[in-house]
Amino acid sequence: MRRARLTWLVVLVALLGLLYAVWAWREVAPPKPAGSAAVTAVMSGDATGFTRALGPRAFEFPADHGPHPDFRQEWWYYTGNLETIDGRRFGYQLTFFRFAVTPEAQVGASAWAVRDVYLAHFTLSDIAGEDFHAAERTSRTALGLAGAQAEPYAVWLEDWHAEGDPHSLTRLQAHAGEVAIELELRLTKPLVLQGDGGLSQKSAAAGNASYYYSMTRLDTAGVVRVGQQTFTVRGLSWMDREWSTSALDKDQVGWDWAALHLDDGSELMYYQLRGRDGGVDPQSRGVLVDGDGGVLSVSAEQVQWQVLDHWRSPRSRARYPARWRVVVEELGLELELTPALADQELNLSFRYWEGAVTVRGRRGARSLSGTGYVELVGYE
Amino acid sequence: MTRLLWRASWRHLTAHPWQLALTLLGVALGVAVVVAIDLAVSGALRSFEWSSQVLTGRATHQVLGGPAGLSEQVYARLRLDVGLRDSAPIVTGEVRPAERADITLQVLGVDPFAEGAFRPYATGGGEDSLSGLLTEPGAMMLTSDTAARLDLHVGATLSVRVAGQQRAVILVGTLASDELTAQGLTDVMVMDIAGAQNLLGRSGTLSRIDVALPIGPAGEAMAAQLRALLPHDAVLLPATAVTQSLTHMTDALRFNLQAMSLLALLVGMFLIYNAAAFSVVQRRPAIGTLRALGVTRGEIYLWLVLESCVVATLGLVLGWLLGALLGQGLLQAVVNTINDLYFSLTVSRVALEPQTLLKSAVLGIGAAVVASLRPAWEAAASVPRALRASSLETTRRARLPQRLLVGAGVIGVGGVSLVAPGQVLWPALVGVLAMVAGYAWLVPAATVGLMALLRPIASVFGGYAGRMATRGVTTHLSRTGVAVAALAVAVSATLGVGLMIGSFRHTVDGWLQHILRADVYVAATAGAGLPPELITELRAAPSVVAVSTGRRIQIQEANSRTEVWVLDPAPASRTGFRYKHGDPTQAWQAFVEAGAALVSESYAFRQRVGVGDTLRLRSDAGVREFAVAGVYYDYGSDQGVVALHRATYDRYWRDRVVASVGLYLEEGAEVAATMAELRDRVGAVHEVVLRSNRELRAAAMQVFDRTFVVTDVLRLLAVLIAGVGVVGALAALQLERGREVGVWRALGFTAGQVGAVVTGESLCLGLAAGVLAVPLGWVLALVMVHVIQPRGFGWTMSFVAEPILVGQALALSVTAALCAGLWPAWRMARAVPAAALRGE
Repeated sequence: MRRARLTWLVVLVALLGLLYAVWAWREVAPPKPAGSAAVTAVMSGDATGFTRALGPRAFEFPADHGPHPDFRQEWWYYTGNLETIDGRRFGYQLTFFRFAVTPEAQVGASAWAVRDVYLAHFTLSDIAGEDFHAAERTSRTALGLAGAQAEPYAVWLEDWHAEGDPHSLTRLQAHAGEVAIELELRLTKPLVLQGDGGLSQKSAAAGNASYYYSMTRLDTAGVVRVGQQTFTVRGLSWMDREWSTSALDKDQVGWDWAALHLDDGSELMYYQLRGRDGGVDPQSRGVLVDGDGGVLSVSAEQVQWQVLDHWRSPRSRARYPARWRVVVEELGLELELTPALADQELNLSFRYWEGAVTVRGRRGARSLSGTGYVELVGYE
Repeated sequence: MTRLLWRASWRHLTAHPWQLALTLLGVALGVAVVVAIDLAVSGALRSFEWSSQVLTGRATHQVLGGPAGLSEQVYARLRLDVGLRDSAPIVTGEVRPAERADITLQVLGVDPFAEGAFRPYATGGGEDSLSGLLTEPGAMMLTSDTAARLDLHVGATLSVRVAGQQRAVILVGTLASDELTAQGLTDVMVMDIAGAQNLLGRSGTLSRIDVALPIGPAGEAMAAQLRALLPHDAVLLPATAVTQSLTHMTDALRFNLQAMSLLALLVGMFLIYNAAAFSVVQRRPAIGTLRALGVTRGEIYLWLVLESCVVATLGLVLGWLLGALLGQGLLQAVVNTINDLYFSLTVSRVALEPQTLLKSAVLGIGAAVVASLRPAWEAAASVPRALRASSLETTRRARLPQRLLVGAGVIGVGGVSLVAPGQVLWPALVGVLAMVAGYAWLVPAATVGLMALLRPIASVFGGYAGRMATRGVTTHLSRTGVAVAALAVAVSATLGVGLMIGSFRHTVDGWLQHILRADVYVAATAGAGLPPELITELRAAPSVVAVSTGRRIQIQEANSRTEVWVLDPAPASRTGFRYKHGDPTQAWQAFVEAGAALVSESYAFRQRVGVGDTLRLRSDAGVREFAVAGVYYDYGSDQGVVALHRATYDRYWRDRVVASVGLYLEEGAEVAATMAELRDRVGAVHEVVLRSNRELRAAAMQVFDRTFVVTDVLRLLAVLIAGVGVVGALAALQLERGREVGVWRALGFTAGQVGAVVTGESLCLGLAAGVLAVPLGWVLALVMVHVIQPRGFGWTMSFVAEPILVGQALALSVTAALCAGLWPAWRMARAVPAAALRGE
């Protein structure tokens, strides 16, 4: 009798302990970054009153390096792979997003009235240290806290900057916690207008498109700081510029994007838009930029995008593809992409995986290697 | 053995339910007053502190600006140049709903993008409401409770008054938070910072910047680094500085009210003592028997004290319930007082805190134990199978000379404690309590004397009934003495506080007449300044010969908050100042020409500065020193005021706001007509408040009177408790004298005659208490005026006695005693003589 009671007591205590553990585990789940609710609110805004990307346009530089306030969203997207002289590898991402909250700002004397909100993501993949650092910032443009301009070229959010002359030298600067980058990016190939002369159709519906151009090869040099250590690095960066009002269709759940620097001097970029049913949208496409700057467009039918492995995030429990075989038969291209670190998930105001990858493969008879960045959006 | 004793207790208490009820009531009322005051005062402040904590959020420090506000560029610098990420800009202010003048909404303007880590509730209202908050003009969020109180649903517009203008705000969502946080957010209106700046007309400036620094040396180093970077007009303070200095302001008020509540408990103690003593008297035969059965003295002593404890515990629970009700009732009065005197505060409800319960339990049970010690000791000291009650009366009266000595001794100690030099308040209050206790000790002896004096007069007017009544009081001194003492203490407190308030009122009225020199006052509505063109217009108005302007600002520093009165005087303003220290001519000259400060008496008292000293103030140009040229009388703020000439102020501060203007009219000008004319001229363009000298004075006196509402309630409560004491004493007498009354009736007394004797006794008790209360009340008033007020608030007051108060005190005492005696008289008159005599 006594013993039975004791057993029950033990079971009860164990159950309570379990409940507590579950509860405590829930508690330690990383909090959303500051202002995340505000960001979500901003991104879920209404598209009425904004211009849509309906047809090709004549790009004008340097004006188009600056903001396009008529469109609802816009980004300046820097990614790159870096290496110290003795081969220690890093990947970085520095992205500035502009979201318009409303076509017309509130009237009033206050300088704080919100029209555009800037959001920036900065990541550093410390490959040797097997560490991934990600940080987010958000700000309105009031008081010059954040903004973008064409001349002189500058995009900034507080003291994270990209500035200089995009056609020659751009300086990037960002820090968060114990990591920081200070880099100089030199453009070595002409700009590439993506899609149809810069109009990148994202789904069949008119207006579900963006204006999109890239700087595919930027020689990069500078320093990376991790804690007390400073590393002098060199490498290659990629820069994407895109602005739109409405891009994805409601049946599209996300996209995979890759931009690769190959050691034969060429770059391959490819994105595929994924539908709710798991299928790939026919609007998915990419480019191959040759060493001399020649651009070849590739369509979805031409590309085999094969997932070889998966990785599950311990934080979000989301399952991401983790290794790929990419084949473009018409170009004789056969590549295998491996994440440099498994965990390069940004669990910020919005969650996605974006990280450095290592490339091995061949083009025709020639074996190739390279580095690149892959972005995976919309995985649960 | 123990069981036997407890059964004896049970039998005794259940056999005398009225007596038990009176003891319970004594404890309950005493405890109730303590709980009520604690609940209302501490509850209001706790709720204020909680609300401040909720509004401060995770901030450890705040960057504050000067009176003109903090330039928002300081924030941009912190973010862009210093890279201080854990910082959030805040714009605050107050608005009133146009239809609900009783509600003040605190505007909290935040930047949701900088905000999340500081105040999660401010950005947690859901996506729709947040984007509404950012984009809709006048968008705001409230807690659902506040929205319901204003009868608002999401999407509804609310018309508010701000700085004299009517503006519309729109509820775009409710603040999502737990219930506790929501309580702290009562009447808080969260807006986007742009909306708040636009609504309050404060573009370009912030109220503060919230900063979260790490705790420990790293944080201190960062704080030092930040301080070095801030402009002169900005200061980095701990986040708690403002709240703490505000709550400290109320220290004296809190202390005074708590002292008053302790007085009520003291009066309650008399009641408990009375009941305990009587129960011992009643049980003397039983106790004698118990002793004969072998119960030791120690056991008897412990038993009776424990019995008191048990009864007190029951009374305590009752007291908590009563106190909670009373506290809710007093809350609004306390909140009004704090609003009038110190800072604006909204409290919708307060909860009984464990510490209040604990404190009142210790006080209530402690009082019961202390009150029962002596009766228990007396019972324990009696010999087995001892004598009847009368022997106690004899010993008691025999001990009178001894009591006189003890009483005089305690009064002496109290007096010493009172006159002991120093600025600390509590020895003075201890002194007052000692004096009251010592005086109470003397009351029985004085009652015997008074009755002897009264007897000839009573026999003239009341015949044998009068004689019997006066004798009855003396014969039953063990009962009546305590009742008279309780009533005398309660009435003297009423009289003393009444005389003090009267003196205070007189002093303040005199001061107002003196300091308000202008004929007409024009003030901006809350939160705004007077436009310069209006001032020019007023200067030029016909029959205006001179103009003075005023502005009051608060300068916050780490541990204090200083009120500065910025005055641009008219020639006649000069005579408004009456000086406690300093030569009037020199002081004025230094004030006008040499940039010196005049400080109010309470400022000089609190900051320990005098003429010739210098004081330091944080100005927009950094910390500056000002010579003190004079100390003037002022009763407007117990925190003290520093008066600066406008020219001096303008030299060191950027703020150019003028909040009020005093107009001096030409000789013989008709004030009412001039005001009507001014209203016509400026009223259509500017929203301002125009008041004549007399109206302003009346308004000030109204505020004065409102601050004493709580005190008045406490006075009445003390008298009520004493009244219960008289009922108890007389009821006890009646029970005890059942046989005596039986004998009277057997001798031929009619019921009416018995009633007359008992009523006569009540009258005698009331008279004795009233007469004895007058000297004590008078002394209390003198002590409060000359010792407590100067030490508590730094105010010099003149003692002005209103004789009518003495008459009122006597009337109160007699009325209370008569009312309390009605029921015992009726019971005694109705007693059946045969039943009463059956015991013989």
